[in-house]
Order: sequence, then structure tokens, then C-alpha cells
Amino acid sequence: MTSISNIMLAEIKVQLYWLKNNKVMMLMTLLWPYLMVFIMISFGSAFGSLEEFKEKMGIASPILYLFAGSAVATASIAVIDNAAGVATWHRWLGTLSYVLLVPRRFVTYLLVSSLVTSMVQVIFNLASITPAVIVLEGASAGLQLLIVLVFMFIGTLPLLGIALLGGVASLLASEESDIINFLNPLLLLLSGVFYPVKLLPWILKQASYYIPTKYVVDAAKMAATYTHPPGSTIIIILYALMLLAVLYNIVGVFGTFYAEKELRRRGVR
Amino acid sequence: MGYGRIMSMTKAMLWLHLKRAVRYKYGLINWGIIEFLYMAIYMLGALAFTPRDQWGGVSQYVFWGVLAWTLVSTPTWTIGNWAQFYINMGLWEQHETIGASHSLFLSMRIIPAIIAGFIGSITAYGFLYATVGGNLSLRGSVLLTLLFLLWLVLQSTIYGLLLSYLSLLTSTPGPMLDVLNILLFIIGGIGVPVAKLPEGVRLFAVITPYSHASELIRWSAIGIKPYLGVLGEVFAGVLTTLGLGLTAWLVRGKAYSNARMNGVKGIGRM
Repeated sequence: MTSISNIMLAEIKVQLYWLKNNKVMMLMTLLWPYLMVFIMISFGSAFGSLEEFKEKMGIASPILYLFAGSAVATASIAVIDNAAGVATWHRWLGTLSYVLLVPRRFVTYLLVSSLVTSMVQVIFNLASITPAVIVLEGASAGLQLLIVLVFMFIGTLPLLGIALLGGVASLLASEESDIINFLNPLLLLLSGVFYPVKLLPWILKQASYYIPTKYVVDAAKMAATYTHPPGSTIIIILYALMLLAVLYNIVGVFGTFYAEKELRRRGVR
Repeated sequence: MGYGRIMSMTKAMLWLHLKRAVRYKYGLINWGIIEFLYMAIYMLGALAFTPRDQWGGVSQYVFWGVLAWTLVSTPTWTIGNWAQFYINMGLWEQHETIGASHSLFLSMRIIPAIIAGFIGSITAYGFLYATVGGNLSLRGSVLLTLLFLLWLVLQSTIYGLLLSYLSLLTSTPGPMLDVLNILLFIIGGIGVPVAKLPEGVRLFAVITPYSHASELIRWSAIGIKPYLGVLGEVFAGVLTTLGLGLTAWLVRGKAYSNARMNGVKGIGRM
């Protein structure tokens, strides 16, 4: 049986070779967080000011926050897209039947491959913004990004559980793409990357407490405000992320078990 | 290619895309929700920069700007991204063999894109109204506004095709090549009125196609005076649309001859 380390190695190689063999794609991937920052600052400033944004968000360094927030947003999109998209991608290519029939469980393959892909994406996104943050905000801000990196890694775990559900729902519904990939912008909307969550209507504000990205955004705000982040805030964020990771992964794994059984019974359509 | 052949191809492709829209109904609804959610993120983002007492006035600019952007980006992404699906599914070779038009097939993706854009816009309007309140209603001519919105869709369809041809040449998914399109949201006068842009950027906005339709939408919907005047915007808009069409046609020729000489290469996963 293929070992887990072999799946991990294969995924790392796929990711790196995709980028190595397609320089335009690599350049564009590096550019995305910069484009998001540019759009938000220029669109917002056309009607208001960065000072107003700083005050509303309750942060000390809006530039550091916007870069970190954009990296969080881009990475969270990539995590969901990769983990949920890989299932429909295999169906497109006609390889899903083979993946379902290999001795390794489908859920193991999805979780391991998605985890590796997500980690690579997180590192790539954060690495892309680091030069700009160091130039604009100094070397200490670069170190603060390390805090964000740790929380982005942890934040990936609950997102994987959500993404598993998205992928298997599309397979069961026999749709051509991930039918619940509205979760991607929904997670961004509820996590308040570019505005305070208090602007949202009451019901959405309540829903935001169940969204992992909200806590990663909180970590980015913390990094953009304190040189020495308060221990109690770190513990609360870690606790919330771990709780959500357990919850969503239990649901995601059992959902995938069910989908695997169903697809083996009725075949891939 | 004769008129009859074009019509029968159009009918077949129209039927295919409508059929697909119904077949993948959950996907289409999901797409409409995605449109709304991204619109809401940008709208709230803009409001986060604005003092609360100015929200009433600013929200009108923000809504029509984000709506115009959705009509630009959705067809562009949809058509541009479909080149990847088209090639991976082996549809390029099939259409090539029977002499069907690749461009017509790709451009018909506009049908589900418009349906999704419509679902998203209506929902975003309700969301902004619920969040901000104030006067967001259409003040000018409904017909003219619709006409200018359609003009914007036509321009983004041509641009989406241009990105598809570039994808064929570079093996990179269209949306990844779409950096210029994203920049145009601001400096191209789509999200922000040309008069509100910095002096040096205004000239750039005027020579790009989307700014003219966007200025005319703001004029017909909420009565904001267009930067070049109504006739000036119409004239400049027609000229820049023709320029965009010509560029797409030239790149198409190069992409097709390259694909026919060397075969098509798979386009990378984004």
C-alpha cells in the first residue's frame, strides 16, 4: 500500500513542478495578495481614508494588517479550492474511479494531499508578501508575520474539514464543479478580512464565531497591533481553532466515508 | 462560413449552454451566491474606509461600481477559464474536426454568467440596502441603464475571448492572466468615477474601454455627470470597443495557427 509519506512527497512535487514549469502562473500567484491590497486601499480611499479604516478595525498598522489579511484570504481560498476541487478534478480527468479503488482510503488521500497542498500555498502566500512588509514596515514587522504564519497553519486544519464536505457534496450531486464553493467567499465575508465584523447584520455576526478564518484574521490584527501579543488572546484563538478543527474534521471525515461508499456502490458519474 | 451555418451553430451552442445551465442547476445557484458574496465583501470593504454619516451617499457609487465590476469580471472569468475545461475535455479537437467555431462556443458561456450575475446583483442590492439603508433606488432611465450594462457585458465577452486565446498561447488559465482586468477596476474607471481618480490616471482610464460604459451607467442610473459628457463617452466607448475587438481578433489568429501547427497543450490547474 502507498505510504502516507509517499502521497505527501508526490503532492509537494506536483505543486512545485506546476509552479516551476509555468512561470507565468507562479508570477500571478505571487501577485494576488498585492492586487487585493491595492484594490482595497484604492477603492476604499476613493470614498474615505486609511485613517478611518485604522480606527474602525482597531489596529495600529493598517499596511501590515492589509498585507497579512490578504495573505490569509488568498490562502484560505486556496485551501478550500484545493481540498474540495481535487475530488471534482479527478472526475474531470476520469481518474476518480482509480483513486476510489486504490487500497488507501479515499479520505486518507484527500486529507493528506490537501494538507500538503494547503501548507505549500500558505508558505507561498506569506513568502510573497514578506518583502513588501519588511520594506514598508521594517524587519520587526517581518518577524510578526511569523505569528500569522503559525496561525495560518493551524487555521488550515478546520478549513480542511469544511473543504472535504464541499468536495464530496459535488460528487454525490453529480455536478461538474464544487457546488458549495460559495463557502469560500462566505468564509471571507464572515471573517471580516477587510472590514470589522460588527458591520455585518446580527445573524451573520453570530455565524462568524463558527468560522475558522475569523480567528486567523484576529491573529493578523493582533500581529498588526502588538509587538508582544497578549498571551490570553493567543490562547483564546488557539482554543477556538482547535475546537473547530475537531468539529469540522469529524463531520468532514464521516461525510467522505459515506460518499466513498455511495460512489463505490453506484459508480462515478 | 455561410449565414445558415453560423445560425445553426449558434442554435446548437445556445441550446447546449441553456441545457447545461438547467442540468447543473445547483452549480448555477451556487455561482449566483458567490457573485453576491464577493460583491458584499467589496462593498463592506469600501464602507470600512468611510465615516458612517457619509454611507448614504457613498453606497450609491459603491453599488453601481461593484455591479459594473461584476459584469466585467464574471464573463471574463467564465469565458477565460473555460479554455482550460475546453481543452482538458478534448472539445478543442472535436470542434476543430467538424469545423465549428471555438470562439462562438466559448462566448456562449455568457448565458450562465448573466444568470449568475443577475442573481448576485439583486441579492447584493438587498444586502446593501439592509446594511446601509438610504436611497439606493434607480433615479434615471431603466432602459438606458440596461443598454449600457449590456454594452459592458459585450466588452467583457470580447476580453474573455482574448484571455482564452492568450491561455492557448501560454498554457496559463485565463483568470491568472487577468491582472490587467483587476487593475482596471480602479484605474480603468469601473469602480471609481473617472473624475475621482488622480489626474495622471484619468488619461489611462479614458483610453480603456470599460470606463465609458461604466460612466454612462452611473449617469443613467444615479445621475452622475460623465467625465467626457454623454456623447463623448459614447464616441470614445465605440472606438475603444473596436480596438479591443481588433486586438482579440489578431491574438486569435496567432493562437489558432500556433495550435494548428503544434497541437494544443493542456492548461495548468489554478
